Amino acid sequence: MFKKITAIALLLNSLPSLAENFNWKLEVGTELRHFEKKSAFNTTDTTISAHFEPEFRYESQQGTDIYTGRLFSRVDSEDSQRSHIDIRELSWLHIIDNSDIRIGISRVFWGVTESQHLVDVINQTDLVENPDGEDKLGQPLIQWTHIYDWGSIDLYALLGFRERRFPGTEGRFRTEYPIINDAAYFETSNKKDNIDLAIRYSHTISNWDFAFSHFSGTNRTPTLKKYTSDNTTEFVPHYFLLEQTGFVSQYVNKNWLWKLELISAVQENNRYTASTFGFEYTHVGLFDSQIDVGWLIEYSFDDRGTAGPSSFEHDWFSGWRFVGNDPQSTEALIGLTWDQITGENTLSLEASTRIGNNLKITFEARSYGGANKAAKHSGTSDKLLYLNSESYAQFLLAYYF
Amino acid sequence: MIFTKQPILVLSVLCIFSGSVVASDDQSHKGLEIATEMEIRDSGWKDQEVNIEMTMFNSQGNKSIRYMRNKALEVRNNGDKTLVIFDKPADVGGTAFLSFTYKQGSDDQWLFLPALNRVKRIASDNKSGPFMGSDFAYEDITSQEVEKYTYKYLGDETLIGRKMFKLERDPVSDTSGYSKQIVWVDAEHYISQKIDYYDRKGSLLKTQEFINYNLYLDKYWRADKLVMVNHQKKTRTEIELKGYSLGTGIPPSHFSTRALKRLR
Repeated sequence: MFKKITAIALLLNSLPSLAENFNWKLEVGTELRHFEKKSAFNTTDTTISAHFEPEFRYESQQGTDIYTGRLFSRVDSEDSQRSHIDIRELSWLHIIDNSDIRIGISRVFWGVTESQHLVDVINQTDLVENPDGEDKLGQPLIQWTHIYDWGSIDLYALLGFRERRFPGTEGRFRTEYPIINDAAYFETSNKKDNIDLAIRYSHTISNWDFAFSHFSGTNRTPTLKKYTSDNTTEFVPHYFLLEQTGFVSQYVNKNWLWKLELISAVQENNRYTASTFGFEYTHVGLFDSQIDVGWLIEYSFDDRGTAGPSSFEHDWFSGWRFVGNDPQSTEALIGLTWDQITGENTLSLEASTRIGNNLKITFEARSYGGANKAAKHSGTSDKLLYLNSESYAQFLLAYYF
Repeated sequence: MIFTKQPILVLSVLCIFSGSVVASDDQSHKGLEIATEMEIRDSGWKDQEVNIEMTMFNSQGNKSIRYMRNKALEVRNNGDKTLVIFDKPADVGGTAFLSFTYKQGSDDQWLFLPALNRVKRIASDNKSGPFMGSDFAYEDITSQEVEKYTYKYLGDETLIGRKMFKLERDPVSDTSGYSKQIVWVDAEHYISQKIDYYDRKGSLLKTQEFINYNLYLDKYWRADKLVMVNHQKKTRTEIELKGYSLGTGIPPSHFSTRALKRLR
């Protein structure tokens, strides 16, 4: 009896603090996409979809245990593959002095450049969300971190493999031939149950941030292999094992950010090197206004070249970032990616602003061009040819609770 | 008319000339002395935590409100470390801003973006940029180190019935948005009461007032409210500071890029 009362008293005592340490947030949005051309595979040029994204965070009284969760779900008018639910985050973080351990589903980001993220390999890409590949699926993992005077060490055990989510046959941005996920090939005999490992060392010395990383496991990026039988041609994703060592460096000098990402990797007994490097210069107060403009120039290469799987073989990226510094947090980013050999190019624009306190409106447009069928320089079709008919503009309206 | 105009113009040019160049050593000396005393009296608080409610009024009088939490760590013999965690508007909820200020050179700044789970380094010479779209610039709210200005004592004045030192301070950094600031410093407590900010062209740009000071730990004065009026844009920002706690022992490890990812 006494125990019970104590328990209740304890519970009542902890209630106000429970409310104080518990935060939640809900984002709901609707998106309207309009494509320049009708698709070769269906007749729509406009798609409508909606997303729902709740999240929570709970921190223990002492701040040593943090629980976070974030669920993402989308329904799409055209593509059944794009209608999906994913647990982006559901993890427990425990902090002990200079160490912490995270167990659960989470997202990890390694990188500094804007045009692509070579070194960032922990999470699978959620390709149905956006063709830019910036959206990631949650990864089940155990992450251990320790902070030393000479930098931080992170160890990762990645529990289970997540396949890439591709647009469906009736969706936009689909490849020339359908992708048969059920037939996916895995180099490892454990297939999706393989435990991948990664380690990262990162440190900051004054104006210089740098990190070394190594990943050992199944490559998140599959190789699509073409199979033809009975007049039907299909792509089958092949997930090969990857050993990738990465280096990231960022140096800050006044308004300049100098960025470098470099990888050396082995896949199917082939070693290759790829890099993205460049700068971002911020011009504060354009024409005496409160608008800041960032100038970005980056160059990417991949020594597997045009024959390799990457679309960043020898590509330039130039971008302009506008930050309004206004109460509505208005921002815009214009980017142009251009392959100096094949001529493939992508022009993109993203702009957003807030209306009132809880509504955010985002405009996004991408235009793809320059890719050729049976191109002279290689004899085969350019890699981004399938995107030539997929130039689009979209409005996204999101409400935050 | 022509005759009277000409001499006045010449005279006023001369005034500015003599005013800015022939600052006596005594004036500079006393100015620096006051600024140093302000810093000495406000040292030893170790760390501080406060809730911020920021209201921005545009020229039509429409307002938008931001909620955030601020943590600061005092660093001996250098600038302080500051952490700002944004709660509202909801779309930026969880965004955190970390800055290390230094007595000399550029500050270090990082931004944590929760939607992407990423920490971004900011090219940090944007002292004059507005903080969250408000009338406060970053340089107005980051720690005021003595070394960031040169000083000139302009005399004593009475403000809100109290004796004030009137001080001119000129930013050392050429990336500052100001040509000079005039500060009214309480002669008893050595705390700022009012600041006039002059733009690079020398025109009055903004006025900041510190409202309702309270004493914490029997030693440190903190204002409940900061009001910044932009005379040129006809806008105003009010910052209300609630629930101060000083010297509670926030671990220095909270002011790191790693901690940015988990402090929300």
